[in-house]
Amino acid sequence: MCAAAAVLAACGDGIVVEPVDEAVSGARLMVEWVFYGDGSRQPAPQAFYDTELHARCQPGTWVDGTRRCIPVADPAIYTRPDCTVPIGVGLTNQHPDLFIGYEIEFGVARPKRIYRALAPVAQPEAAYQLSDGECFGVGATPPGIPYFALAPGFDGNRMAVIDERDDGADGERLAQVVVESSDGLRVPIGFRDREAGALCEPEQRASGTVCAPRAAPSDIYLDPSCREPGIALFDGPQPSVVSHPGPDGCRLDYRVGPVVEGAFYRRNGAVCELVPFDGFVRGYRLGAPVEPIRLEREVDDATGRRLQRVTLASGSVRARSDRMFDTATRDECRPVAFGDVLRCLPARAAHATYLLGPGCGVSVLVAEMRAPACAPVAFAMSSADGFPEIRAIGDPAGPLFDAFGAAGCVPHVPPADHVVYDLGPPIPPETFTGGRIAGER
Amino acid sequence: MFHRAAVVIAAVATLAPRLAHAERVVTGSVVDHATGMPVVGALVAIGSVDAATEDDGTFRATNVAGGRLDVVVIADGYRAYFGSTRAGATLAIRLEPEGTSSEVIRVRGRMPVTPPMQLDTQAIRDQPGAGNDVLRALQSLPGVARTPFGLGGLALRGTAPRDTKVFLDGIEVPLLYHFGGIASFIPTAAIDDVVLEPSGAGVRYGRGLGGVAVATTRTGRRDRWRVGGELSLIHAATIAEGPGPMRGSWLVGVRRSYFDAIEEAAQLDLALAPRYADAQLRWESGDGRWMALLFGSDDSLRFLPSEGSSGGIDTSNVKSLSYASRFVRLGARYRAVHGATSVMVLPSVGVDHVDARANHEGVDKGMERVTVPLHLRAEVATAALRGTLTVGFDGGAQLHSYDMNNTPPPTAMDPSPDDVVHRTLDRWASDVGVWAEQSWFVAGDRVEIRPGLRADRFGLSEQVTLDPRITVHEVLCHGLRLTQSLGRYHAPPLVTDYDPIFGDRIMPGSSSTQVTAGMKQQLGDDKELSATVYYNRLGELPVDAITSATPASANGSTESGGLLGISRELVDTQFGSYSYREGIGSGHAYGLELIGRRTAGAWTGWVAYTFARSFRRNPARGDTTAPYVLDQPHALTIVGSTALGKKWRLGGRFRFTTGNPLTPVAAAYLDASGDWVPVDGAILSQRLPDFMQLDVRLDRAWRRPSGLWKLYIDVQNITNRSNAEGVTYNTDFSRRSFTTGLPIFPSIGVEVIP
Repeated sequence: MCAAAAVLAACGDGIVVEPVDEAVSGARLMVEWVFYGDGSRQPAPQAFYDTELHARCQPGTWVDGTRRCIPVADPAIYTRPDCTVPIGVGLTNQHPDLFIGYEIEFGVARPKRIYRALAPVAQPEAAYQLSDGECFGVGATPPGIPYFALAPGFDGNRMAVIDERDDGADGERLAQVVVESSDGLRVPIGFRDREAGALCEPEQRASGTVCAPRAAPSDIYLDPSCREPGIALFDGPQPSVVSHPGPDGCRLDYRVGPVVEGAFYRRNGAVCELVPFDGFVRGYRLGAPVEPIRLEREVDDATGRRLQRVTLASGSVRARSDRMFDTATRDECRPVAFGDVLRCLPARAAHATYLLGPGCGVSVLVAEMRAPACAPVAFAMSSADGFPEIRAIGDPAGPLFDAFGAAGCVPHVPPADHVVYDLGPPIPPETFTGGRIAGER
Repeated sequence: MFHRAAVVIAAVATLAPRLAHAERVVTGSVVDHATGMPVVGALVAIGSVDAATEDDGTFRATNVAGGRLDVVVIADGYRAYFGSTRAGATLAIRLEPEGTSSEVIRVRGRMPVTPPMQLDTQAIRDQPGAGNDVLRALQSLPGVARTPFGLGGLALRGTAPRDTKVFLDGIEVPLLYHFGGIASFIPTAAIDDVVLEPSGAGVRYGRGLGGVAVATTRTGRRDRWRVGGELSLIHAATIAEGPGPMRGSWLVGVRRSYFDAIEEAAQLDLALAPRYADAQLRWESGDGRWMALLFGSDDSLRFLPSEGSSGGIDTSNVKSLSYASRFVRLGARYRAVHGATSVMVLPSVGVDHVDARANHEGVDKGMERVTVPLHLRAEVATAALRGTLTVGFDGGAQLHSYDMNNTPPPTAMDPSPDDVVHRTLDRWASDVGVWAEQSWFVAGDRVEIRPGLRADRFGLSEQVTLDPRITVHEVLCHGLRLTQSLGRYHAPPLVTDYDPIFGDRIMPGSSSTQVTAGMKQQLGDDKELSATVYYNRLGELPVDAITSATPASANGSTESGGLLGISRELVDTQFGSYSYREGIGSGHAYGLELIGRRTAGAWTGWVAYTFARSFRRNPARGDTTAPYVLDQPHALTIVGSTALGKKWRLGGRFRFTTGNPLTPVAAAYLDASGDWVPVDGAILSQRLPDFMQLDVRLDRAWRRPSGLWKLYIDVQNITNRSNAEGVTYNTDFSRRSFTTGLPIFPSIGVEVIP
């Protein structure tokens, strides 16, 4: 008996469960999550809940330059030419608690003071704003929205200071970008490819899951025959990585190479034409290729839930993806707003576009995609009445047309290696798992 | 002093044999009530068998008959002792000197051969924290889940309070405790015997998934009229007994609380003003063949509006609330013994009335519910098949009637109802059960095998059920006794699940399969150890089927846990219609109960430890299994008392239980109207802090010509520990606080036992 117990204990010791870096609330700032109807949830790291101010807050730069978690609130304006009497403008919230007073510095509005809402008041005749230390009139106030008297308010010291930093083991290429606050909040918000010097995003490719660096697309050619790609950049911060389609049409990444003097070109259909850039633009060659970081991907298996969390790992970094795995569509999804409700829509969706039927009398919604695709795509997304609309991608479409002014109705010719596909009817949004953002307690 | 022969004859006449053959031994001890010293040479009559106490006060009566046996003890200088028992029992009898009296109350885990617990009247009355109430004392027994604030309800071995059936003299009692669990529906002075079977009950009782509590009223003494009573801080009671027709006896009792009057007179700032009353009238013929019983209970509650919350529940929108719950039962029993055959017939009729009114957010809401049960219980026991065969009928009809004006619960057709809807229901339904049980003794009467079969037809669900059950007892060497039982149980649905708002539907009853195994070891004459393991599987449980619009963590659904969830479990049968339910839930419970007890000596009492788990699964909440709201894995109860000289007695009770589960608020969001709405965390995934409480009781007795006068001071929670019973939240759910239970609560009273 004792021996059996010892064996069992030893077995237990042998089980190593890798810890997953998950969002953790602080004593004051609480993580917001998307709570889905099937019981699953994922962090919504764009905002937090401040349990001292009893308000949602978002990371932002206070007027003193400090990064703070600033309440999500409508703005306060001034009603007098001396900018001494603030008033709250209920632009988005019918039941506001807080308002933010801004000061404009060099054209950028910086939050300067938080006010608590008092009773509703009548619409003021005029609005004033502090700008670079002076009070300026900004015109008449908009009608039809509520205005509120304000209590004296408080300055930035009442708000939690937050910090954004990279977190990863020395010598490892992948780091995790986290937001932290002094009260213990720690929320992973993304990844950084240290070697490439760029943020990177998980991407499923035919070869597996990689962390693809955030890259600027190459937009020029350096030769009159449009064979050598480059990138045109204005003065200022330069991207670290440039992407350009490879021979198979799929994305390849490169470092930014040396500056190139001379003329630049671009493709216009089958024609390679000169780009009339002015002197503020410089051209760069593509540098060395950048191989994206390969990620290990693991999908949870929580019983009874349609959506499953996805864990990504490389080296010592082991973190949750910002996408869920939808077991119904067998694809990854991410939350998209439908009014007050979020729905986990397919993360990979082609853009739906309109072409014309024979005679150019009827518009036809289709998806024009590369074939074969760099990664399989099953859905196309369009927009209807301000809300996303999802359709299934069907078979290759029959002849479709474009209407070009004097040329009239001409057959549509897809780009090389591209195919036009029919789309199915709109899929009801309720088909996709709904959720709601709520602050942790 | 009664004449010995007359006493024995009277005892024999009231027998209702249940066992054809048995090990048939009753043992015990007889001591002086005040001093605890043994009474030597007392005559002990157990049915038709006599025995005398030895020098140490013990006795042993062998070859006693089966079934309920009258016990008479006569000793010089002491009042005669009248009680009852069954074969296999071990009695601890305390004799009162002339001019006082005593009765026997037995509380048992199983019957009849190996009861794990037997408590005499005095032990019940003296039990700290029980408030002089025998049915409240049951809550200190292993296998009984602790309810918040002592709200009452017997949740046995992982089942719900509504699953426990309670009977008084065979008549089902709809409500065991007065509001708030302050007292049970009948005073201890009117009770002769209580048998608690936490699970594994025989086929005699049905239509319940949990255990059975059977209380038997006391036969009044008929030599002359006597009056006793009790006066305490919360209620006053009086009981009288005396001669009646057919050489029989009357027992009359009445009790009323006056907490509401004190509250009003003292202008206490409390939100709720409860009041309760109950009354009993019992007549029994001198030969024990005939008995008539009328008993009733009346509870009412007024809500006195105040700001904010009450008991952690937001009452800011409640402008008024009144609640009344009453029931009355009238029954008549005939029983007779002809040779080896006994017959019992018990017709009964009653009325239940619940009237609840409230003004919520300016809208009058309410419910009036009347139930009229007509019931017949009959059984015949006779020697057959080389054993004892008992067959019975247990059925009747009920008129269910209610008139409701309220916002209906969410349904699949209307998931977010807003309007108050008036609906009525009048429906007759007949629940009929027949049963048969055979008892065989084998292996030299050391093994009893008792198989049974019960068939029920539930009128509401138009469902026929068959419940086979079997119990086996073994008497081994060195006083070791074993018991095993296996049985199937069914319970009908509640009438409130047939609310007209739900349309025509058939809601099935629920079921359980119960397995128990126990052992009991007698250690000497005054100590015993027992252990019981059990497993219950529950099916077709009614569970909330529409959940999307109602967060569990804040709205008081069953799955919210804590105070709100448990309260719903306790009053489910009275109100119902909190939610649209379907019989799709399931569950299971298992546990181990250990008891060590000392029944005589300087210190008496027991130590009971229970390991118990109970789980539920609601498919509407997902494919997960969560703890039951009264899942309390660890429970430890220590009860002890001792005599301090001849007049004083000191006792204490310590209880520890694991905190009840609750569903946490995981997050919150603002809805369009500016109100914070909670998001449920994992259902019942957290627990309240553990519960611990120490109660102390001090008794002082005076003997007077009118009877025994007793002053008691019962202090519950003497350490004034703040035990968490529920949780409350601030507006945006960012702060959580606990609703704490009873603070230090002294109860002082005077009782006269004639």
